[in-house]
Amino acid sequence: MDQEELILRLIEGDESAFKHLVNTYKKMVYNTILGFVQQTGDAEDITQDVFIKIYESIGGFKQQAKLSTWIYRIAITQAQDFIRRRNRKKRGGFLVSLFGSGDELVYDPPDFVHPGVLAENKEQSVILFKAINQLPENQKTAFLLQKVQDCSQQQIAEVMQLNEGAVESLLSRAKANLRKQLSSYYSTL
Amino acid sequence: MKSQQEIDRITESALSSLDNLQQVEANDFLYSKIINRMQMRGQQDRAAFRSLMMRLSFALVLFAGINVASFLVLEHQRNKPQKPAKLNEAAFASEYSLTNNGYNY
Repeated sequence: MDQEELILRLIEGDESAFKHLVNTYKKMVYNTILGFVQQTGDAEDITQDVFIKIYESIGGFKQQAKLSTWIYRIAITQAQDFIRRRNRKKRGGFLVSLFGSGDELVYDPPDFVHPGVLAENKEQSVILFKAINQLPENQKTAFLLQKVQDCSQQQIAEVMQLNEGAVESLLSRAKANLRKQLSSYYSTL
Repeated sequence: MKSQQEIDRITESALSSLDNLQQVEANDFLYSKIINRMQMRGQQDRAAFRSLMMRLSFALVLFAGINVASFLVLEHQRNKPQKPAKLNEAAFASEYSLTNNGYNY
């Protein structure tokens, strides 16, 4: 089933087309969201929401971008909305800042061990994910799309609706920020 | 205390810890869960709509009741026989001797 036929059938409310869409893109959506929210249960809930949103708003898809690009955008937006809501709750509940004045980790969010990380990298990836959480939203999105989804700079540019130069700049700033945070963290051990 | 060289080495190693990351399989029953959630959401929407309609109906009935009651009360008052105002004034004047203009010492 090609993309146009799939979209047409989805607009008509064809259940088998929707099943096909879910089975084709569920891994991509789930992994993208998991990188952002870093909790398997929440990632699954948001994945379900993403597909419901796709089903409800497929009529508004203009086909100017690839279907996968559009799905990426919905998944990222949903994940970012979830993180904002979670952070608001956290701020209201505990009134603690995640970072002290010297970029030191003061409050530890729950450790996230990504199930797809190689065994020998697990410990370091936990620290890296904590640092990723402190990146500005755009840098985090670009970095996660590259590292978790293995997207090219061109794909990232399409998803984020930026030019490739801007994506390259975001990635290099993300890496510089991560390097700074990790270096500061490891120097205190 | 670690040397700067060692810190740099661990930092670079941590930065590359997500290289060769394996994609995780999503839940096999995701589609069924999504369909179930859509049905649940539909039921919740219908329940919320019913609840809203019930409240609106109650408000409408209350509004209509107040209007009917007000109408009946006003109608009742309008139909009640009243003493003519002139008669009342004359009786009052006569009672307090206000009808003559002269002084009565």
